[in-house]
Amino acid sequence: MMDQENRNNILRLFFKQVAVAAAIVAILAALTLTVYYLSGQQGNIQDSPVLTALKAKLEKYPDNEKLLFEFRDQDLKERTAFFRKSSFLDYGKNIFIVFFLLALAAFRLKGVFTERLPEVKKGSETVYKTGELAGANIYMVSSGLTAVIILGLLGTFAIWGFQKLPFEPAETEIKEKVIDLSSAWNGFRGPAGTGLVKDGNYVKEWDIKTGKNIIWQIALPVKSYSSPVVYKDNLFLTGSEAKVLKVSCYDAKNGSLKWSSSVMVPVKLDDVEIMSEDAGGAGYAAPTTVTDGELVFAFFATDHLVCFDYAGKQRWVKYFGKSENTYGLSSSPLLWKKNIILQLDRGGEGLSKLVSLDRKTGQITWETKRPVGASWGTPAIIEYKGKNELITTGEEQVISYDPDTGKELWRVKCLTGEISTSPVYGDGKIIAIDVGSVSTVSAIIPGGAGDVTKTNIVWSMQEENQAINTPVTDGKLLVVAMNSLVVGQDIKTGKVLWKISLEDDFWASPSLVNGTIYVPSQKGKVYIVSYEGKLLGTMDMDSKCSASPAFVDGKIFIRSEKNLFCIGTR
Amino acid sequence: MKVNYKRVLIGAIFLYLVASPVFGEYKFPPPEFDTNYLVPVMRTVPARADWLVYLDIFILIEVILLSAWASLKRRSRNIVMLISMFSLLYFGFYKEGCICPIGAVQDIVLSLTNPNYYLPFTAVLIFIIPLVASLFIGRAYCGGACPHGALQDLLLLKEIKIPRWLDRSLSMLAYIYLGLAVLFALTDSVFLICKYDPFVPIFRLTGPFYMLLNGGFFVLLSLFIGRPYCRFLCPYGALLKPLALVSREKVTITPDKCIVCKLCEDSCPFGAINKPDKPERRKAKNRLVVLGLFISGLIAGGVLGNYTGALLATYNRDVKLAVEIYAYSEGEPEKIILSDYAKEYIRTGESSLLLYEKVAGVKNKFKTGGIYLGVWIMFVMGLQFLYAARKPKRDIYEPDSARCMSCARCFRDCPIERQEKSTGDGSRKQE
Ligand code: SF4
Repeated sequence: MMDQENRNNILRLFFKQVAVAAAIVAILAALTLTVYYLSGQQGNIQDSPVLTALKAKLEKYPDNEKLLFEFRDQDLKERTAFFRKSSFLDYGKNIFIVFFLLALAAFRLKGVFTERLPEVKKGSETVYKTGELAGANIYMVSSGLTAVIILGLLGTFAIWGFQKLPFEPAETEIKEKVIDLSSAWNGFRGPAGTGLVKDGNYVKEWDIKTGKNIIWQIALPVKSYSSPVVYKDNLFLTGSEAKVLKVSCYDAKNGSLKWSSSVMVPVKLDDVEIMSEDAGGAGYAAPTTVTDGELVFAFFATDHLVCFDYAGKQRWVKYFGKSENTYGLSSSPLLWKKNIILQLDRGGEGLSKLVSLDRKTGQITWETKRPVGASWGTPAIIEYKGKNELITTGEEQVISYDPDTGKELWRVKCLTGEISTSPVYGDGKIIAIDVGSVSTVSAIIPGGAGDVTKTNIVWSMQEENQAINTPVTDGKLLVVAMNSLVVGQDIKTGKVLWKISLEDDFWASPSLVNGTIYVPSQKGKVYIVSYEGKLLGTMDMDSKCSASPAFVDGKIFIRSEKNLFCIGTR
Repeated sequence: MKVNYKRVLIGAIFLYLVASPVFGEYKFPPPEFDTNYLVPVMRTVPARADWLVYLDIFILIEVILLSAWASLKRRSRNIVMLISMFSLLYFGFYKEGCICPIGAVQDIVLSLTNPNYYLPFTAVLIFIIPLVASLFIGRAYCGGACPHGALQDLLLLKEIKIPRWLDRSLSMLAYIYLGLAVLFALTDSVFLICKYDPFVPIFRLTGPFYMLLNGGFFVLLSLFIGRPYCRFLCPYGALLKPLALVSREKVTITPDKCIVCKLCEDSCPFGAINKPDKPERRKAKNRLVVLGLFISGLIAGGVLGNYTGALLATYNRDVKLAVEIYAYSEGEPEKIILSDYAKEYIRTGESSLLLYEKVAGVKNKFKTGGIYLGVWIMFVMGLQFLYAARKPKRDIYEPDSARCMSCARCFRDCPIERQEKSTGDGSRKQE
């Protein structure tokens, strides 16, 4: 018995010593941490005033090397200091916790070996107090009170819960507004995608040097092949710069920039390699935008279709997966009823397809695989015998689809080469041009099913020049702009009515405006040609014109490589 | 010396808490220029090996049984304490408090509504085992196996007694918390119990700032109040309580007959000892009125819960995101700074309209869930009220089975126990 008591005493003393020692260490650690903390030494380089100042300076003088190195040195210094501090704090914290717990544990163990006699302690009444409160049992009162408090809280929360979310589903149901787009130039080659303008007064003469008939002119920060699109006062352009895809909106009245938004996408654009404009590719932003009057849709060679609203806010993005087409893509999105239709001819096994997406949500409404390789044309929607057909040009063939379902209707094999031309429609005929050293112009009547190559080609003719753009027709005259040649043909028979030879090349598509033909060129000119094939004038621009112009409300919008012009009378 | 010693420890904790903000997470951008530094690739920690998980379960079972043995058979506080220290080290600091039965309730609930949520069988076991055990041996899990409880036990230095009526009212919080946690888990919103677990950041020695703050708060409370989390908030304890009430084996303060010496009256730090009582017979209340009140309480709970649900929905991350995206799409773009989460959302390319639609569904789920929550809260409230009205006749001191956490503290204060120990088997350690 005595032995045990002795042993207990020794152990009690031992644990007491351990507890005291551990507690001292813990307190020292806590003290150090507290002093360290209160001395404000918890630096975070994000708030560093020195770095912020240096950064601001550097933004002012970005080329100052000395400043740059100073910034880097400072950055490194602060980071090193920060990490030193944080590892110090980390050690301190661990030391505190370990020793504090040790102290507690030793304290408890000391208790194990401490003899303590039971006693009736003071304060036990506190626990058991069952006094009557105003004649009622205190438990009942407190339970009742708790119930009241909880009910009250529930009630308060319920009242808060009454307030609606800012968007109740019923309100977000978009009311289909009917927006009149007839007077807009809302997509590639105008509202109907034809490049045809039937009214309005457009000048046939201007001079960028003297400013004659130039309403405004602005320098464009980036190069790209997409064409301007205009709805009311909003002019949309796309561009790309150092792998940042941009959609910009300018004021069509004066050319001031309304907004320029970068596209936010879910993939790293560094992984996408597209040949730039300078290297002979189409670049990242060759497709033209399309707008429905509320939203604007832009397609980029990175295979992203993106929707912005008129405030420049991104509404949705659809990514179609990486393509194998390193030249870039140039097919522009098309508006069709509630949908956006996109021809994605991207090369690679099974990569080419037609997709239709819901305009508001970007959800795919239908998708049809296309049996073709890469191509660059924009499809056209025509009306034939009361039915709508979606006409596409691509590798070897013209294929027609139902634009509502994506079902294939018929196909004609009449194309060779890498097709960058889009189809046009006039006088009941679809005109398709292939791309090679020789251009074959084919006129096809729609209708039928399956392969109708044998039956549906009405006429075809060849010219020994290359055409890569899209022709224009008013249903009588067909104008084709080829390398060093502009040709006027009778669309009924294909008979050549006139030819103009020009030392120039044409990537932008010609437009037929109230009987006058406008042909922008690679040499930085716009040729004005009469309906009868007479060259009325040659307007000098500042640089290459690869984008098709927009004609709205008496104003011509032309994008050259460097500038954007608004041409017309004030 | 003893008192000073405690004060010193309490002081240390205070001191430490002052400095604790330094451990808030720091995040700052990488340098804005190229460096030779290779940003390390993010790695995911491999899952714990299967056999280890089963070992954990085996250990859990062992610890619960041992703890029951120590409190029911061996009746030794010291052994219970040693077991709980082991649990603190193993389940707490080594396993970093995860997965624990407290949080597992959320996994189980979520897997009921979301078939894509993978619920490991072991999680079910971890949830079920202590519950089943409590049917037979009371809250042995709380007494010895729960690292949360062990830590709070260790911290209790200067006890402040809480009156019973307050204790009973505060313990309602656990049921409300349980209801909320279930609702938030069911709607796939957040694991509330895990997010606001006060002790996990201590087990992990790190955590986001709010968690450290929460942890600090509970550490402070635990210095003065016996197991505040277990008693007033623990949702798992809320589940264990009714089961322990009908448990087969129950802790008794004395190994023999209670002589009503009052010595143990104050020994329970959790206010779990019931006192002998001879209530005067009161005249029976009109049962119909009580029933009517009870039912109208449930209905009121349901109605209010429905709208409360709508409020709770705003804590769902999708709803928050939708509100932010809505503000962004309606406001002026330059003036709105988007959160990283919103930016990432825009990057995914999903249309906000789809988000709004989804969120409307989430809100409805919350509203329906809110009805159940309201009814549940009022139901528990009603039971508590009826329980309070009940006044059983009691002749001896005995633990309240629901509240007793089998910690074995009260035994030491029983003179009969002491006598038995000292005259009994000589090999027994003196308590
Ligand atoms: S064993 Fe005794 S002291 Fe421990 S919780 Fe139960 S009643 Fe309280």
